[in-house]
Amino acid sequence: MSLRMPAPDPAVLSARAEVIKGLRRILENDGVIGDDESLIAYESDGLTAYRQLPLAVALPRTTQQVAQILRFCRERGVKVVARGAGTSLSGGALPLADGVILGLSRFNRVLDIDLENRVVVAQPGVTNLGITEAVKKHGFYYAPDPSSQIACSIGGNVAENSGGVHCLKYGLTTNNVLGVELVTMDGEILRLGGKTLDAPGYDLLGIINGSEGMLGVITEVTVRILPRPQHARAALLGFPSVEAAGQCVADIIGGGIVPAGMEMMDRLATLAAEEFLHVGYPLDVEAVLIVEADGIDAECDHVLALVNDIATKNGAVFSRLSNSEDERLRFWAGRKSAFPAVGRLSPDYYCMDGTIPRGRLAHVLQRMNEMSERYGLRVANVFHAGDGNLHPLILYNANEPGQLERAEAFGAEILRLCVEVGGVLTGEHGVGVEKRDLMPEMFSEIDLAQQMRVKCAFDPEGLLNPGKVFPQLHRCAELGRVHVHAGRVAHPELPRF
Amino acid sequence: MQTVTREALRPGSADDIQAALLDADAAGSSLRVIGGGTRRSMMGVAAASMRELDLSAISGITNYEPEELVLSLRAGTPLHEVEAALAERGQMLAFDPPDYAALLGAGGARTTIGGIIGSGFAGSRRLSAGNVRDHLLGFDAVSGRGEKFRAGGRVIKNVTGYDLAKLMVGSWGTLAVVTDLSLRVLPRPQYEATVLVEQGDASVALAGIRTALASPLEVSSAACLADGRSAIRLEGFRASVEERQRQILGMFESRGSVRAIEEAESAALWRDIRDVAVFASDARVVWRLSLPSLSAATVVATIAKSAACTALYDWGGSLVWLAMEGEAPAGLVRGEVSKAGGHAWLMRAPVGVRERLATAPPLDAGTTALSRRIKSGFDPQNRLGDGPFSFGTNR
Repeated sequence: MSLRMPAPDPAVLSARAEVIKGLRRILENDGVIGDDESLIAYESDGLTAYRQLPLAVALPRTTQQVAQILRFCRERGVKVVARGAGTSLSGGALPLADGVILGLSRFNRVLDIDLENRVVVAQPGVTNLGITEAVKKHGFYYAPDPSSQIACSIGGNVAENSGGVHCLKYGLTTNNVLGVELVTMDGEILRLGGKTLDAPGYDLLGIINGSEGMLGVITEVTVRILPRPQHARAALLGFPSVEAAGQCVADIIGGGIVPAGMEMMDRLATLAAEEFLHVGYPLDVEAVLIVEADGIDAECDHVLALVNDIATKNGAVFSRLSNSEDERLRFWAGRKSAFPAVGRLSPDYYCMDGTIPRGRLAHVLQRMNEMSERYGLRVANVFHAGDGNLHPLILYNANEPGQLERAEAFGAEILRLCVEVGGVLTGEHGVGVEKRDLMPEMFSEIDLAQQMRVKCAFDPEGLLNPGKVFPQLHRCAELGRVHVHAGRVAHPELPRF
Repeated sequence: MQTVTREALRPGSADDIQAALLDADAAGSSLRVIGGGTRRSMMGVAAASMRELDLSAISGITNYEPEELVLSLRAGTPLHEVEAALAERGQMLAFDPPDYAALLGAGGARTTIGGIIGSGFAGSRRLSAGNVRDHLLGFDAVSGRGEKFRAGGRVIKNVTGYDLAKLMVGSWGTLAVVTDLSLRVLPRPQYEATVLVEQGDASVALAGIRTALASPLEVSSAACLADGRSAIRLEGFRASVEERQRQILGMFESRGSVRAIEEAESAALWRDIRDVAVFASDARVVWRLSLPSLSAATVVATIAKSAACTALYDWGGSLVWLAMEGEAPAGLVRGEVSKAGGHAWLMRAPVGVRERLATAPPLDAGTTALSRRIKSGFDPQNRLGDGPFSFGTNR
């Protein structure tokens, strides 16, 4: 792997036995892993191309233990990487050779189901779906639904600001989290937000969401729950061109409709899904669109009728409206298994995650096809059409020399294209280590310095998850100098009032 | 209130702001960012050396793409201009920006989008459509260091780097001067109706509202008015709203006298609720309480035992506007609110009262220290002041 991580601190490496002993003292000999064989389970997350054995793994049960571990590590200059379920697709939980993995898997209880206030308080290791399961019998659910929701943890969701297919109508994690309990690197326990619909002071809760485990360790999460919609219906639409499907999406939104979900697949992704599951997708089209409405019957029927009209006007050659829950789930089954389905076409695939303005989709796919020819690698596309989040899947064979490198270069070029057309490097998977070195495509040195100063406010020694998100490690004291240089020297010619 | 004695600066660009900050740096003075001035009274007494940085010349819509649901504009753009442009394309700011000019005695002041973002207060639709913070996608700003920087983007789904946009919302211009911003916009509902219920006291009314909010009928706003009526708002396509309205009416028939109002009449009612019109024409002290909705009626009842007050409950009870006669018993209000897990803003008070009390909700020691470090990261010399906060660097 070509990825450069911060150089391990030899002093910490040689003090490994002592660190493990200290952790065992805090956890009373329950939940410290120190032997290499057992550590293998923690050597990577969902981004398996990168692997590293950690110094040790600590599995605390209480917030107090988390605080003690962080204080202990800080005193000894030991780095810490927090880990939820380890499903990150960007290497957010990739270990460091001289760092302790702080696993939150034992924080697995739902603490408070508060139906009157319509919130749930859960420990960070509870799975995303676990929250919905806990309130299902009362007619509620937790809206953000990343596709890994059976496995991924709510703490990890907060760290990555996870999305899902219902973001357009119901928002991302950050829009559904009302509070957290957080332990900073110096062992201080903070409560941000709570059961209220806003919080006082600077929006520290807002900055925690999506901070990729670099600001603090989350030990409790308060989320908003919603009454489950009475019904959901979906339309399955096929178009002779990507342009027509894209225009249909624009017209649906322009027509005042906010669908519960709106997903597009290109020809290759559709073929793969249909071959895999035989759900009835049209095979003679360039793009398939699934549009879902939810709510009372009158709402679903009205919205689907409008969607059907708009699709017809945009030249849809295939249109089916779900008439039963079974049929609706069948429409979705193909989309939901698009990744494994594409995986059958090729020994390996590399999943990208850029966001683009919806209107640039046809242009982006066209450019991607040109790249595909140039790199000699196929690409299938699934697209959260409602919010512009594009997941190109680059097909390659890791056993053929040079293909992984070509796939990575192809992926980087796609992400640069996303930025070029007004989009961003990552919509929901996070920067992690994967997109870290592409950050300058979107941000200047000053932009990044400002983000790093936020990091410094929480963790001045840079011990929490270093080597992620930022392409260069700066000591906090050095960041001040960017100012003097940029502010004073760069604009001596400025006019004064 | 002591007014700012020196003439306000009126920058026309980020370069001008940068220059003003460098000048302030050289003079050891500070600046106070002002949009339309609606909330100026909440910013506290200005130091003699402080100059206002009036953003009204940094104004205008720069890029509006309705089918992308995104609007880019300059910070000083008046809210009414934004709303007119959006209405033309059948869209809106879903967080329902309030206009507190009348409430805060700033009649004639024009709320700007920068002021809305800076203060971070959302209107009645916050209950269903999210807060101000949930709709700022990206921005350009000049930090208190005098550095131009940007964060976020123009797309809804974006996890590239820290979400600095969240920090800008509700920071009252104390971290950086936002010059340009991109907001998420949403379709304006085709139709709206409000079910009005007259029943018992606030605790009974709020319990009824909670029942409606636990139903899958997609209530968009819910309030218990100062006169005791509850208001439950439904929005969307007409066929859907009418059906949901029937079901809500059915739900409340046995609880008290019910009726429904539609379209313009409903919209006017909610404009008044959002802007707290009921307290606009008197001189009482006004608090804004944010509470877990279940605790709201109890907290108000406890306060009312010691001090005469009137309450307007919005956000299904989670937001309480409290008007009080005479002195503002801050210890009582903030004590009860904080026991219930909430917080209180002192929105309106005579100058003498405001001088004695914190306008913004006090924070615990740990959060205060962290906030101070965040502030230092953006504005180490405190060139942008403390706004309504009391955790600034030089205090």
